Amino acid sequence: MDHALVVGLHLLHAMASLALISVGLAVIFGMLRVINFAHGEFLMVGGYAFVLSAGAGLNLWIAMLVVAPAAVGALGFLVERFVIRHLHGDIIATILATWGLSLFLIGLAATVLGYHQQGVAPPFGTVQFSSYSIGIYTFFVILVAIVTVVSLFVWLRWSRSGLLARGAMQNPGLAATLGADTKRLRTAMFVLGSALSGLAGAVLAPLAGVLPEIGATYVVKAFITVISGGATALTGTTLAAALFGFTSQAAAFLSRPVVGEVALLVVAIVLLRLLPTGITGRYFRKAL
Amino acid sequence: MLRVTGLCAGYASVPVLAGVDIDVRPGTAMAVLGANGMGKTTLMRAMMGFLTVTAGQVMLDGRDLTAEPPQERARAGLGYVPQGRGIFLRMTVRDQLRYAMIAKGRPAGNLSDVLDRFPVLMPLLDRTGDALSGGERQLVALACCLSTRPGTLLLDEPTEGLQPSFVDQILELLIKLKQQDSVTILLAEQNLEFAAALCDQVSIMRKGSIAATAPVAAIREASTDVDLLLAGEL
Repeated sequence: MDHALVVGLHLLHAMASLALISVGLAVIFGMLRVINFAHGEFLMVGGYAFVLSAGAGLNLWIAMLVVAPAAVGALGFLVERFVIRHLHGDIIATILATWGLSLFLIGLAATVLGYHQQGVAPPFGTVQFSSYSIGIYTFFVILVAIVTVVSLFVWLRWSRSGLLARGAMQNPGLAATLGADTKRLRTAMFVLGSALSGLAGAVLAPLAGVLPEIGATYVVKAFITVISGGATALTGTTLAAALFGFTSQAAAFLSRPVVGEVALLVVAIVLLRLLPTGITGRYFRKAL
Repeated sequence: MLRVTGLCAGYASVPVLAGVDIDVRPGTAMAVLGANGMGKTTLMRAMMGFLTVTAGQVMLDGRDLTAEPPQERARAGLGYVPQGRGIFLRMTVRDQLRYAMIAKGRPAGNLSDVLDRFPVLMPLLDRTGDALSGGERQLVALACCLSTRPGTLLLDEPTEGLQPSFVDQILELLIKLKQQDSVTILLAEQNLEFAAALCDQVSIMRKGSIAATAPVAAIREASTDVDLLLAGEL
């Protein structure tokens, strides 16, 4: 019984981590259709913002939940304002620009902070289930993922600004003819997606540590999750994160972690073969 | 008063409009007729701010809108229903109507106002845009545009591909708008019958400029020539 509980918690944690890694990209790529190859580096910057500000003596939770999202949100504002906005609709130029940005951020982090891993010990300690112990921080990661996804859903579904943002992302031209300031709304959504990436990088930093090149471990999984989710980005990404997180963790339990990574890719390939437009291309079409 | 003077615009390095002049008096309707490829849609898109204008002016009620972005033109009172039923495909009809009400920064009004005008939308409120027929999409597009309470309306081929019952509904609605609410209308059309039933004046567009403008009665008398013109044979 305790073993099943621990396995269940690890499965939930894998799903939550994948959802956190992907939710910022769900906004930026899934909704705004901006291919941000620097997404992994946005998480890396969030991780560093947290680790450095906590290391400088700032309260751990303020560093994690305020400073990291704010820092990456500000970075997102600059990137949208000076790069992305001018490349709107040009996919190749956007890929090249964000790829360049990714390399620049890696190089900058390596030059300024070095190639060694930095981190903060997971807070809270552990809890004992019979002969198994599990970090209480695992529960926190699950909680943050749930609160993030539910808050985003509630905001987009029921708030006035969420409705305006949905329209500006679905059909900017039409939204503008109805009087919406689509440039400002798209900037706001890019900043939101960036801030969510910063939050994810900070929340995962105590478990994964931070390195200049850690973004590479996040970006592929995030793109696979968002693309497999389909057109309805938030619901699709959440469902894909649950499916892939469960599959990879279950496979890792039954074999080795590397098999879990392979299982994730195999399930993604099969899923996209059966549902080429992603999970929400056929199901949950009215969702967000 | 909607006034377009010497408007030149196009796509990238391809000029399409070659100095278009149009005056539409307040509370009247003007049709711009022309065969495919003559520049009607380009004119509408340039007037709404989606294309860079290389020369000329777009004035609405004395205000120069030429350099304004689309949302500022909408806020100035210009409504636009694009060709091909511009709606949000992954949003319910209810949300689309709410969107149109709040997009200009106004408080969300009561949906009953717009549903009184478009009762056919009542059973469709919870359907998403991609689940609607062509005629239903056109009505939603028109309803959204009117929810922004425009004083001047740009309509780009609103009857294209629609069954006659929808065409009749749209015509009845537009006539009411013009007569009761004094909305100014500029209509790009190929359907001469529809244009003649709604409009006071008709302009004929050929190769990116206005070839002739006349009262609708004169156009009716010359309908055979106009038909040939629309077919691209004159």
